[in-house]
Amino acid sequence: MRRKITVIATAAVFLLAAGIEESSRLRTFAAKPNAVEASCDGACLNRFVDQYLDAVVAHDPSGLPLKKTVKFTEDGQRLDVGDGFWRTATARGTYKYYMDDPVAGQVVFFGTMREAGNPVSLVLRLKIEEKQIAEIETIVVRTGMNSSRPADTGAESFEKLGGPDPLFLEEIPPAERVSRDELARTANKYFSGMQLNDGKGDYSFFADDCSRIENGQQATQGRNTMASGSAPANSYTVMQGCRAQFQSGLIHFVTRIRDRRFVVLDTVHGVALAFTFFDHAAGNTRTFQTPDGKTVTAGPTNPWTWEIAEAFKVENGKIRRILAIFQRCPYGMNSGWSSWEDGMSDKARW
Amino acid sequence: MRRKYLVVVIGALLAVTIVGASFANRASGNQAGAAMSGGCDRACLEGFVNQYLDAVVAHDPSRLPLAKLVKFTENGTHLELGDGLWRTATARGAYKFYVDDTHAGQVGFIGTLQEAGQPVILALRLKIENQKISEIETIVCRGQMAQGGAASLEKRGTPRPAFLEDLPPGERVSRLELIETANKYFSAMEQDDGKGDYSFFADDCNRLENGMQTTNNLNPMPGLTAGGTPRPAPSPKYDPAAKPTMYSAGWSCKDQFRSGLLHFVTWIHDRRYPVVDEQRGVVFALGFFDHSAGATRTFQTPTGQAVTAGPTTPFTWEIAEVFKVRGGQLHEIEAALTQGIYGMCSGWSSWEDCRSDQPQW
Repeated sequence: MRRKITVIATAAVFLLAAGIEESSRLRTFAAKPNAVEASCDGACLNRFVDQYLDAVVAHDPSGLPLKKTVKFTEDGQRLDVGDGFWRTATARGTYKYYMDDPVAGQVVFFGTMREAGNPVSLVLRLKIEEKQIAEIETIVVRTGMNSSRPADTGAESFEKLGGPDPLFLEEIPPAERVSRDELARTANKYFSGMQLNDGKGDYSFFADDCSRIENGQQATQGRNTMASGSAPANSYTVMQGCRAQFQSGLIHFVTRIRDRRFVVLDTVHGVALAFTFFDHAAGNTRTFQTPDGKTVTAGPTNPWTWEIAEAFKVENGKIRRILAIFQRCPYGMNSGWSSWEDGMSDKARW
Repeated sequence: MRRKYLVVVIGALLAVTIVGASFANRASGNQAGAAMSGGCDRACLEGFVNQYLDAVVAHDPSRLPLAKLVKFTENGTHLELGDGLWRTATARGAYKFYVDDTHAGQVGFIGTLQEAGQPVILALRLKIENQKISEIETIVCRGQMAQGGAASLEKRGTPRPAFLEDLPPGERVSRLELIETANKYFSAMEQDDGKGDYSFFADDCNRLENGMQTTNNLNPMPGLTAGGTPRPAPSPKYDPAAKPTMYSAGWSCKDQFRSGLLHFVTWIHDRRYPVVDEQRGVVFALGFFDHSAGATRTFQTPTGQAVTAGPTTPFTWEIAEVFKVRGGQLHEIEAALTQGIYGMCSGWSSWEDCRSDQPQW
């Protein structure tokens, strides 16, 4: 097993060092531009989100324009529409961020809700076909990231923030807009740089003012990507910037980032949104060397996976803002939207 | 339209024939399975479990005799062999409970292990074909509840003797009858209303869940309920006149069901019965207990009392449950369970079978 991990780690280093084109690692995903979907613009997509969430709170899917073959997942599990959060949602919250991709006919929503009176964070993806909802994918964050504050799901922090960073909503000047492929490729560098992170990659894809918010909490030092902070010996810290965290080589324990599905590629705003999973294989993958040669043992002690939806604001080929909602799930879980092979692969798809 | 109906009718008849044939085959003791297992008796099946667990602790699957198409799941997710607990197991534990099915070439196991130095409870199913492991299904119960339970199992040392005792030849029944009796447990718990026929529980029925005795137990158990509230001290006897709002570990198996207070278990899905030991009258089942929450939390007990109880958010237990069946009744019950994701599947069923509450075997 150790040999296998070494091989994986060596391969990852090789890929980074050799600067192999990301494009060679990317695969085509389902977001095929479609003339029918083009008729549902951003406002139309957002209306579907509002209509959906109102129906959820009313516990009544009967009024929704659903395709006959509609598929619904909650936290990676395929359920009947009307089950799961449909039974327990009690109100909509105040944090709302809609990410539209009229080309793909898809919209992703980050927001807050109330479930049995408690604040929860919600990720919602809808795929619209012929003005009907064809796909519904949700992540409901019900428990906190911090075991000492299990009820803190991040929803209240999101509501304190009020809304997404304004930069996410700013349009990219037409002359600076890039293709969908390029947008996805840049965002995917984040996942590739984190997986088995060794601190030796080219992290120039981070803008100098990059900052990241995870479940409503600031996860990097403000907007100073190079801030070094005062990190404990074996852990990266929120006092560091985006780039400094990666340069530390201390995120190595994220052993695989798989089932990377870029479902929103908004070239107008320069926003890419991916669903994915962060595996922490634990065992001997917890022990690694940092770039300064120090041997560190860190990360979860048992197999651990985050189910995650992560949005990136990309400008001029660099990531300026990152916004994520995630929660723990069974190690190695599939999204319910991928074959097993794609679900276990670290290749990006869109 | 008429033609379409004809096709449907023919299809239905064919399906009935196929299901019937399959039923007959299964009911006959899975002779095909016996042939496939290549004559793997109890010692052989249990030897495979020991070999498997030794390999897990050594983090080395290469030492195992594996079928080419071997499939491995941990907590419902399909992983590559060598991943998951394979990386983190540090030692075998002392508690070992094997359920052998020499006909089907399958073996179930509930036992203790150490993972990164912490105790866990493991439920394991292996399928053996031609002296090779072709299916590996595991449930790893981690966390505080399992840690306490693992210690309790180790203190117990061995499974209750009845699980290991042969039934007198005259009392043995078919695997199908054993499954039917075991399945009554799940059917009666699902949306329990207290009004069913619970005569399938023997008077001496007793249940262990993750090492904790959860029936006839008058010693208060420490810890929290699934809802996060402190576990109340058990009441010694079910008394409908007292209008209880929560079932008690102090009650008998039958009284817990008679109370109608398990109603919040809304759906028990993906019920599989892959391991049946006719000689001992033991059934090893796998399934998921869904708690749909919302409006399903409010129900009426048999005494007409309106109760609101159970988890407030959608909640699922992933469970392996072993039943000792004798004389058409359940005597010993032992389960290993961990919180899954609401509505999740085992990785061994189609979505339709997974979401169904019909038994599969």
